[in-house]
Amino acid sequence: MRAMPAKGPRLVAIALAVGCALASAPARAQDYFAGAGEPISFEVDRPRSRSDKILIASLFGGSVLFAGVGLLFHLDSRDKSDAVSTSAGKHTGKVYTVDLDDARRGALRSRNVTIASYAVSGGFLVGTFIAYLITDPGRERITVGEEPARLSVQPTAGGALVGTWWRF
Amino acid sequence: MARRAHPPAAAAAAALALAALVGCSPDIGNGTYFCGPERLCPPDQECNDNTYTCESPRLAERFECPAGSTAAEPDDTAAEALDVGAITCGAVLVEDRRGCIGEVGDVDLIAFELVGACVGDRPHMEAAVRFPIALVPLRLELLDEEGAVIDVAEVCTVSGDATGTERLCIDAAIEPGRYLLRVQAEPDGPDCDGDCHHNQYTIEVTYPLA
Repeated sequence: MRAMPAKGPRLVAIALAVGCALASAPARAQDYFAGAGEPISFEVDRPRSRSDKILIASLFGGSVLFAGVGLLFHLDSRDKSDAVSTSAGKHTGKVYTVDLDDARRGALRSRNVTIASYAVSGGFLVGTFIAYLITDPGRERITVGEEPARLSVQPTAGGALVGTWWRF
Repeated sequence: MARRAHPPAAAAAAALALAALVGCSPDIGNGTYFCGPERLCPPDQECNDNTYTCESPRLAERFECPAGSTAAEPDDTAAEALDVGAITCGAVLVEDRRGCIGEVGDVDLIAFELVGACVGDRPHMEAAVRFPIALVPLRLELLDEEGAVIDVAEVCTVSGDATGTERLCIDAAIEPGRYLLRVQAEPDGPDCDGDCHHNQYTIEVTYPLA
């Protein structure tokens, strides 16, 4: 026959814990419900207007568009420059032809377009940032819980739905 | 909540974009290209007429006939032509002889003679002239003893030639007799409006049997 473990000390410990919790519960409940009846305030972002959103999106889109155009001309300029450029002291064995001169001119032309496109893109980007700051609608404080209780009656088939709210 | 711009980030982005543009400008070193037709070179360089390469303006030289290239002058008429003697079957008659067309109207004539018939699959005379592309193009003609044009050289520059020169060739089966090779500037050839109406050349004449 096996020996049964002693249950007495464990039951005493459990009884003590439950007793302490019950003794302190009313005080903690009073703390909790004490603030429930007061209004609650918090800050939220105001929504940006539709026209402001369109303005910011347009400026940013312009920035992306001109950056893309600049990138295309950038790559074109780099390719043409690579085709013409040489290192001093290393003879290419090539004749400087009209085609090479056209490539050189094209590289310079594309480079200028690249610079202009990047500049315009940067301008649009800065404009986007400025517009983002200027059109910032800010934040507002919302307080809930100040409204008086209202009775709501909603007719339904064969009766009505009645509702209201309470604070406690 | 405080919001503020980030000037250092914007400046870094701008600097990055400008740095990326460094590789977008063609950079052509001095002396790395042969001059194109009519002394064509990049804008910041000039053609050195004697090396026919594009150089900095400081190093660009005006044209001078190479040393020894005018030794046969005057050789503008049949009577004054440089006589290189009789052709030997299967041999080289003139090997890379230097010549110069120094001015408008200058003509170089070389006289040779084919004494007898040569034995071979296809005995024929070959003449070739090589000259820089940068200056006025040249013309090579084969004339008979009376000065009538028998053949005019055609361009035979090898594809991928990396010497900055053009090559003209004549390949003609000829009968025994006296002949003249005439080198002159191409009539109406591009010559920088007369400013580069001169050129140097080398000529070779052979008589292969096949």
